[in-house]
Order: sequence, then C-alpha cells, then structure tokens
Amino acid sequence: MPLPDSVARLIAAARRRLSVSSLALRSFVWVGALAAAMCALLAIARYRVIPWAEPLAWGLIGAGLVGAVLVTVMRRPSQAMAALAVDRRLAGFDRVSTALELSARTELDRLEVSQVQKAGAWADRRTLEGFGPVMPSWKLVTPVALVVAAALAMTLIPSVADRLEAARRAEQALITQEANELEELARSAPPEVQEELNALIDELRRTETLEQAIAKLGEARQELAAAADPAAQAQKTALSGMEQRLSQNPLAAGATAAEQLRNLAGGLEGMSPAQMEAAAAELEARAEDFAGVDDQAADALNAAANALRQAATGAGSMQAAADALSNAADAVDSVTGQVAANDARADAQAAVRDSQQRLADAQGQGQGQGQGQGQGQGQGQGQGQGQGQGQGQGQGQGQGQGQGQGQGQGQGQGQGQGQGQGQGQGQGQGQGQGQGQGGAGGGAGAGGQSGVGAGQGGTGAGQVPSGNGDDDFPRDPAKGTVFDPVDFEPGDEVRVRLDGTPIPGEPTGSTQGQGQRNLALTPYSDRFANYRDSALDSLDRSVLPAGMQDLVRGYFTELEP
Amino acid sequence: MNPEQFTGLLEKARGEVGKVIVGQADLVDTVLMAALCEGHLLLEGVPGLGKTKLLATLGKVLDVDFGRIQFTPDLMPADILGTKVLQGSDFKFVAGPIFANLVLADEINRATPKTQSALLEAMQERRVTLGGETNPLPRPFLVMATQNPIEQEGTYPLPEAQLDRFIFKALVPFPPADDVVEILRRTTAGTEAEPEPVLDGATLQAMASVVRELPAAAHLLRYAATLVEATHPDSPLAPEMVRKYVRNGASPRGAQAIVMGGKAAALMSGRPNLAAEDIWKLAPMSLRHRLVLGYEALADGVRADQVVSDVLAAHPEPAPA
Repeated sequence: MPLPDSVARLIAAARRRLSVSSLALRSFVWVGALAAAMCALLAIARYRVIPWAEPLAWGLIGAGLVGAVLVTVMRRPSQAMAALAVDRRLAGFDRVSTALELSARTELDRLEVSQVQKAGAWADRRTLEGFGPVMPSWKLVTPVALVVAAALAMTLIPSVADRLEAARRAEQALITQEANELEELARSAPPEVQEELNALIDELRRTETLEQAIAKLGEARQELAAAADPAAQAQKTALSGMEQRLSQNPLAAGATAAEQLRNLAGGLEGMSPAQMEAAAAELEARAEDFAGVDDQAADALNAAANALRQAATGAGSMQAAADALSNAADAVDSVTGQVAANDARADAQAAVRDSQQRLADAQGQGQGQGQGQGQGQGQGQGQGQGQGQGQGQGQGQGQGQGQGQGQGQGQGQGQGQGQGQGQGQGQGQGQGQGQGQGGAGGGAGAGGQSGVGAGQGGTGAGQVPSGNGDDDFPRDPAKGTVFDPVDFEPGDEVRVRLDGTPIPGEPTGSTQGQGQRNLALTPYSDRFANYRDSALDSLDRSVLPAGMQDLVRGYFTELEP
Repeated sequence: MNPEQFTGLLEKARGEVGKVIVGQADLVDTVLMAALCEGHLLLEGVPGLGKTKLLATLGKVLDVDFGRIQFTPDLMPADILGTKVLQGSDFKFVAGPIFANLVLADEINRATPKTQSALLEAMQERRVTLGGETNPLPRPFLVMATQNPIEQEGTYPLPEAQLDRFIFKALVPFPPADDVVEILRRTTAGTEAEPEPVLDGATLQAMASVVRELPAAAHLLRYAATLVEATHPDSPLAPEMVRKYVRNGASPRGAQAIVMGGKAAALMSGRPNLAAEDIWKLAPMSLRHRLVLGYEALADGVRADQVVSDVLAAHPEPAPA
C-alpha cells in the first residue's frame, strides 16, 4: 500500500528541517570549538610572530564549516528517523513511523490498512509548526558568536607581531629583488664570477632579515675584493695606455694592440731598418708602461723590441723578430683577458655593493628611522725614523729623523637603522702631526615609528696627515711634502729618492745604517691618490648612507691637488 | 469487530464498572487491559481499597463464569483444581473453582507455595492435569489475584515462576478524598448500584483478537525488547541501578506484556497503532514483578519501580529499526 501523500510530504519536510537544524547545530559546535582553539593561537600570535597563525585559524574554521556540511550530507536523516521525529515532536503517537513501515509491506490486513489511512488523515491536518527551531539554542549561539567575533577582532586589529611580520615580508621582498638583480648579472658573468655570485644568491635567498642579507653581501664583497688581482687596475691602465697610444701611432694595421703586433710580425719583410728601429723604440716605451705591472707582458714587449732591433741591424733574423712579436701579442691578449675578468669581478663587486647599499638604505627607512650623532676624537702618535745609506747614481749620505704627534678631533654624524636601534659612524678630521687614528664616536638616535631608538655612533676615524712638523702642509703640490713612512725591515730593498727624481722600479739602495734626511718625505701630490683610493675603498667595504659617502667624496674632491 | 466497535463496547464496560467503583480510572483500565489481553492480573494493595470489589464487579460486567477462591494457609490444591471422586465403579473428575472464565484469587499470598503452585499449569497452559487426565480450562480464562503487601505473618511470597505468569502487577493506590466521600455516599445510604453484564466471553475473545491484530511497528517491538534486556544486570544496555540492585532481569514475558498491554492501551485510547507512549505507560506494571532484586536493594530501600524508572530514563526513546 502506498504511503499517503500527506504522510510522505510531512516526512520529507521533517527530513529537510532535520538536515538544516543538524547542519546548524553541527556548524555552531564545530566552529565554536575550532574558534576557541584558534583564539588561543591568535592571542599567542599577537605577541609572537607566527606567520601561519591567521591562515591556519580561518582555514580550520572554514574546514570546520565544510566538514559540517559534508557530514550533514553524508549523515542525512533517513525517512524512518524523520518519521520518528514527527511522531515525537508533533505528538504523532507513532502513527507516521508505523504507517511508513506498513506502507512498505505488500500485504496488509484490515487494521493495518486502517492504520495507514488514519495516519494519512492525521498528517493531512499537520504542518511542521511546533516541530522545533532550526537554529540552535541561544545558549550555544551566543558563546560561539562571541568566540568568532574575538577571533575576527584579533585578526583585524593589527598587533606588534603583525607589524613585525609585515616588515619581515617587506625585507624578504627587498632581498628577493636584490637576489633577482644579482641573478641577472650572474648570467652574463664569466664562469668563476658566476659561481661566486650564484653561491651568494643562494645564501641571500635563505636569509630572513635585512641585517643578515647586508652582512652576507658584505662578506661577498670582501671575498670578491680578495679574489681581485691587486695589479688589475695598473694592468688596465697600462693596457689602456698602450691601446690609446697605438691607436694614435699604429705600428701596423689592426684595431687592437695585439692585432697590430701580429700584423707587424707578418709585415716585417717590407719594413726598413729605420722603421723597425722606430717600432722597437715604441715597443720599449710600451714595455715601460707594463714594468712593475705585468712583468710577463713587459718582458715580451722588451724581447720583441730587442728582436726587432737585432733584425734591423742584421744581428737577428726576421723570423725571430716575428716570433717575438707574436709572443708579445699573446702576452697582450693575456693581459686583455685578465683585465676583462677583473672588470667583470669589479662589476660584480659594484653590483653587490649597490645591493648592499640599497638594503642598508631600506633598513634605515623601514620600520622607523633613527638618527644618531656621534662625536669622535682621535689621537694619534706617529713616529718615524729612517736610516739609510744609498749608493747608486751619485753619492749621498743623509740622516733623517722625523717625529710627530698628532691629535685629531672629529665630529661624526650617524644615522640609525632598524627598529629603535641606530648605527652611526663618525668621521673625524684632525690636524696635527704624526699619524693618528680616530677615536670612538658615540651617538644617540631616535627611532621612527616604533619608538625611541638608541643610536650608536661608529668609529670615528680621525685622519691626520703625516707631516714633517709643520702645522699645516701647503696646498701647493710642488712644495708640499708628506711624511710617508716606509714599512720595511732592516735589509729590505727600498727605493730611495736621492734627488727627488722618480726612478720607478729601480732600487737604488738598501737600508744600511743611518738614512738620509727626509727620506720619508714625498710630494703630497704623489700620495694624495693613495689616501683618496684607500678612503673610497673603505667606503665600498663599509655600509654607509649615501649622504655620508658623498660627504667623504666631497672632502677628497676639495683636497685634490 | 472493528476498532470503533471495540471502543464502544469498552466504554460500556467502563460505565458499568464505574457504577460500583468510584474513581480509580487507571486501575479499572488496567484490569480491563488484562482482560483484553487474556492475561492474569495481580492487584497489590492494603486492605479496604476495593481490590476484591473491583474484580467482583468485573465478574458481573463480563457475562462469563465467575469463580472466587479465598486463599488461606490450609487451602489445598484440590480445593482449587478439583478432584476425582469415586462414583460407582469409576472415578469421576469433579472440577474445582478454577474452572471458570474469571477466577478471583483473593489474598493469593496466604496459601502455601504448594497450593500456589497448583495454579502454574492452569495459568500458563490454561488446562489442569490431574491423575493423568488433562482437562482444558474454559476460554477466556483469567486469574485476577489480590495480595496484601504489609501483612507478613501467615503469608507466603509468590514464587518467581508464578509472578511471571501475571501479565501485570497493579498497585492499588489510596483514593483521593473526593472519591472517598463518594464511596461513603454510595455505600452508606440506600442500596448499591448493580452493574449490568455487557460483555460475554465470545465478545471478550473477539476484542482480544482485535488487540492482537493491532499494528505495532518494528522499532517499537525492538524498543520493548531493549527495555527488557536493559533490566538484566549483565547487559550492556543496563543502567547503573540495574547493575547494582537487580539480581535477575525480566523474562521475555515482560516484553510480551508490554506490547500486548500497549496495544490494548492504544485501542482503549482510540488509536490504531501501538505507540512509544503506550510502552512507557505499560513498562512499570509489566516489569516490576518480574525483577528479582538483590540484597543491596533491600538494604538501600530501592523498589522495583525505581529500577524500571531508571531503565526508562536510560532508554527514553525508540531508535529507528
């Protein structure tokens, strides 16, 4: 016997109502429990950076809702359960559940048929009014709503940890950006430089803070600088000079010096002895450029010059001269390769320095700016004593003794970095005699947004020019001399200018006994470049704000003779 | 017979009983339910509450053979069942008062266990075997017994086997004051009303057939079985009170009593099917005399009705079958 429509309708409606109410109940219970747990987690995350706290919290609550829906769908109340619920909640006295069961039978007796019919009549007059609420009791809803609101508030209201996390992400983005730029540079770098850059990039990507990244970049710069050939600049200068000279006064056809040498070797047969003599002289002059810079190239050029002279005078063969010229071309090529490699390393070093500088600037502007001012005082004592006896061209004896004391005083300015901490570097200028080293500068800086920061001035470097006892050295480079102590041990060969004329590369004597007077005095113009280069190198190796770097550069520009 | 006729006849019987019995509607319904189930009933109450009067009135309302046995310590089985008497050269069976449609066993706990045991076969098998001869009892056959719970002197507690044969054990409460006044008015002035017989044996059996045929859903049968199973202390369904105080739980007759009584209750309420509400109503009177409580219950003053209530609390609703 089919189930009466009214009964079926009532059961279906009850089933839907039970599904919705069980979903609501399950959702509130699950979400409430998860939200309570997540509140605890979010509360901890307000004071301690837990990057995954908020995604986990809302993810779990979302998963709880999805789980509640899935479980409700999978455990949807059956018809029998709905019929029982109707009987219990609507005072059906098991009419509906009994009718449901009887309707499934094929044969019914008269009382059973009567029961099903009466159940249909009863259901016809019934609705789900009084079946029960869909939503759970306010005793459950209220605390769950409060817990969820608390979790929401803890998510929306920024905390200290949020700010720190945002800063960390920003720093990470900056680091990644710098790593990407270095990666771009590494693609076009020679293999050995590429390898070093890739290692740096890997380490950079693993760093978590700007401070670590800056330190890594600093280490990388030092490694690149250490790997650089100290003679590279001289090589480059010599090579550049040679190229420029030969482009103006070519020895033979060719765009580069090496090509001209090779073409010269190939065209010796058509050259007159005078032309060969002139070429030899030119090669000797170029060899002078490489003297003390690249001995191999210098020797090769000298050998080529000698071979040319011998060929011109008939003392040597043309073939020997051609071979010597080819060797010289190879040597020049070798120098060219070394210069190119060092240029690439220098480029990499510059790129690393730029990255370091950008990160340092970002660190200073990031989570607050601190400024510190420091004062530095430098005191230095210099004492130089030289004794020497030189023999060479001419004769001379001299005793020299220089002694000086210097005091430097400086004022430094520092810029703080980071959150409530500043770093300052002081710089001092001093006047005096002798050699001095700057004292330590101290400074205090105030942090930016996040409060008061304490800045500490860096070391103040009081640079005290060497002197010969004068209070102030003259700016006239022709007259000015500076005290340039020679770091030597007794017995070391030293080059001593006896008459003020430079004799590059030629030792003129050895230190024995008493030295000549003013042995250590050298023209200011000769040593200024060393000071300037040293200072600029120091700038490169240290992390200084751009403003400070400009100040230092301006200082040396002003002093430049 | 259809349910409507059933209800009509029942209302007549209630009306006739009500002529004599004041109030006690639930008790009257219990007695009628037992009759409709063809079950035996044990009424327990202090003297003077009208137990015997109620059953005697029922005997009048039911137009059936009525027998009354006053149980005393010297009552012998033959005084109940009958005996064989030598008549001429043959022994002839002379039926005892048990051979009636409705037997009132008044103060049944005053007879000795031996005599009480004489009722076992009659109540269960509805027959009497004597001297190798079996004689069926008339149908319907109903034993309505009374017992006094407070007098211990000269009484013999009914054995469990016999208690189990009573479909219900009804407790007779003291009537409210208004009912007592009405009792006084009816019994102390004029003549008492005399009930008319409205149901004969055949009609009663037809009504019992309707009760049996009443639909009962599977989940309700299982619920009744669950309740009975929960009265056993070693059952996982048993609540704490059962485990602590019950020595032996109810037999399957308890479940039968619940379902049959529930069906009768449903029909008496005009419903065409058994309901959980009927089971809740019938469980106490169907189970209380079937539970064998331990000494712990005696020591703690725990009664069987408390245990049944605990069972119902542990299993408040039927589950889907």
